[in-house]
Amino acid sequence: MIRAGSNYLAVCVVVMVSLTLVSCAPESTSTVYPQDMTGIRPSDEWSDSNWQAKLPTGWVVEPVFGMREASFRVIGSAGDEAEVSISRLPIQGGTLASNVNRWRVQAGLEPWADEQVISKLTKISISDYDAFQMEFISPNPDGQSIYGVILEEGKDRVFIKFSGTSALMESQLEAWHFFVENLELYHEH
Amino acid sequence: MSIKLSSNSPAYKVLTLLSSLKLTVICLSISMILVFLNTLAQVNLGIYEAQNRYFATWFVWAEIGDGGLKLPYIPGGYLVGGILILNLLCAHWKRFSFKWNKLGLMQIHLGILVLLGGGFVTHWLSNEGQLTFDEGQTVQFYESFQERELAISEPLPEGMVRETVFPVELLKAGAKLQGEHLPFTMEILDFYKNTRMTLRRAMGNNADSLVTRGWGKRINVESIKQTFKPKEQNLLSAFVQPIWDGKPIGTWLATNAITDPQWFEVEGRKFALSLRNTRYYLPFELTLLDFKHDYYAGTDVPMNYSSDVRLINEELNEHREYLIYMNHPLRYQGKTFYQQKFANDGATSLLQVVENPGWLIPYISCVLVSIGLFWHFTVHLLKHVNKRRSG
Repeated sequence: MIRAGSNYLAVCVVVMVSLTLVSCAPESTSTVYPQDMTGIRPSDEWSDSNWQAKLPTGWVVEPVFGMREASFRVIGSAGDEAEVSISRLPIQGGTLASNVNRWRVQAGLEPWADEQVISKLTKISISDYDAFQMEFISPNPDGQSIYGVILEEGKDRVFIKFSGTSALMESQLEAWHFFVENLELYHEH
Repeated sequence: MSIKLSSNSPAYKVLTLLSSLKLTVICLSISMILVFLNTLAQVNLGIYEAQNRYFATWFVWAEIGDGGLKLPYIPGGYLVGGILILNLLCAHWKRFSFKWNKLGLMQIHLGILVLLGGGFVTHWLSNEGQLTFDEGQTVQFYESFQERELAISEPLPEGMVRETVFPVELLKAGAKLQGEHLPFTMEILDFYKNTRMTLRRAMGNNADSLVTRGWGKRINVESIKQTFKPKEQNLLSAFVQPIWDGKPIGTWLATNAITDPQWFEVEGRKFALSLRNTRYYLPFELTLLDFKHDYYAGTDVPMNYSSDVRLINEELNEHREYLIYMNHPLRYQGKTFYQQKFANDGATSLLQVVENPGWLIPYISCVLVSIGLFWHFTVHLLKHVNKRRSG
């Protein structure tokens, strides 16, 4: 004969089995938090210790590899992609003209004469730094077009390069101007 | 209420089996074997994985050959612990009836039950992780050391974000994950527990990739053996494909090696996906005001490091400043923040966070067992003294 004074045993067994089953079945959860709490920035803002920018619609921040300081990807309506990169190299790495002409050649254009380069570029200012802006549309519809900005900061030259298929790049010209106009560099002069 | 069971009934047999002392001895013996095997396994698997394989499981599994065939060869901690609890409860039902002189014995057993139950509470409800912040930065979450999750975040109006998270255990090749508020199904095309990653361009090898969107297109992923070394980290990789209206939107690579969110749009709504360490949000915010580290003179050996933090709990209207340093953690709302280490030459402080709602249970258990032992031995001593006097 066994005495069972209450349902205590049954309750304990049920609790134990339930806890075990709950622990065995991971589930998805969905929770709403204030944006500041999650640290997730709106997809149209970007900043790091050197730079701050407003991103045009469709621009996506990418992780940085190698010598790059920043990287963004732009996806066109046809699924074609373009890429924006910010990288820094020592000034000794080449003249302004050689770098500009390298981009021109990559875009399928004839290089300019070295002495003509500066006069053909648009002079702009980014956070009080003098910079040169250029837009090279490839003559080949399947070629790569390049928009760029080059500025000198101390012993470095900073390259902001936007490259992609000509069709996508033409549709992104306004976005490129918006990006450059809102770009800020924090480094001290 | 009392229930009478016939000695031939199956219930009686089950209760007899569950209350048997032999079962107690077997379970305790298996526990000893588990502790022994676990200790050996920790050499190669580390503490966390060894505990998972030997204690946080119904059975301990052995892998046969390279074909992935697994067979159980010994009961695991869940089973042994569970049976021990049942065994103790059933033994009480069968053997013990309440008497004042048995109160001590019952209390000792209650203490052991509380201790066993406390083990399960700690296992299921406790969290441990790391809070990382730079000087001047405010954070409201800490991240698990071991657990990972696939998070899909959707910005909402009025500065809110909805996070749908899938524990990494759900990420299996072929799995189709659905969230209550997600307009798409997330299909897992492939999942690796540890990977080696190389830049595709750098490798000169641009073989076909599953990835069609995001930065994963530029990365080659190669599955490698999981590591259990304490100073190494497994780089998990999942190839994920949101499916909307029956069609895939694209395929992304999600990995905890790069936790930058990757954005995509469905039905005009923006979503960011990332594979990250499991996050635990705090109902208050911590700001690192200042971090200091001192070394023993003439050496690189740290003597002391401390984090001066500001705690703001808007709900309770609390604004406090604390100094967290070695052996002087901040304890607040069931969470303990220990100074763990620092990085970036002192610009970043890392706190270890421990949250264990069952932390008091072992103390309660010890008190119960101590009082039980005191009562039990006192009763027996008095009985013995009385016997000698009357004799």
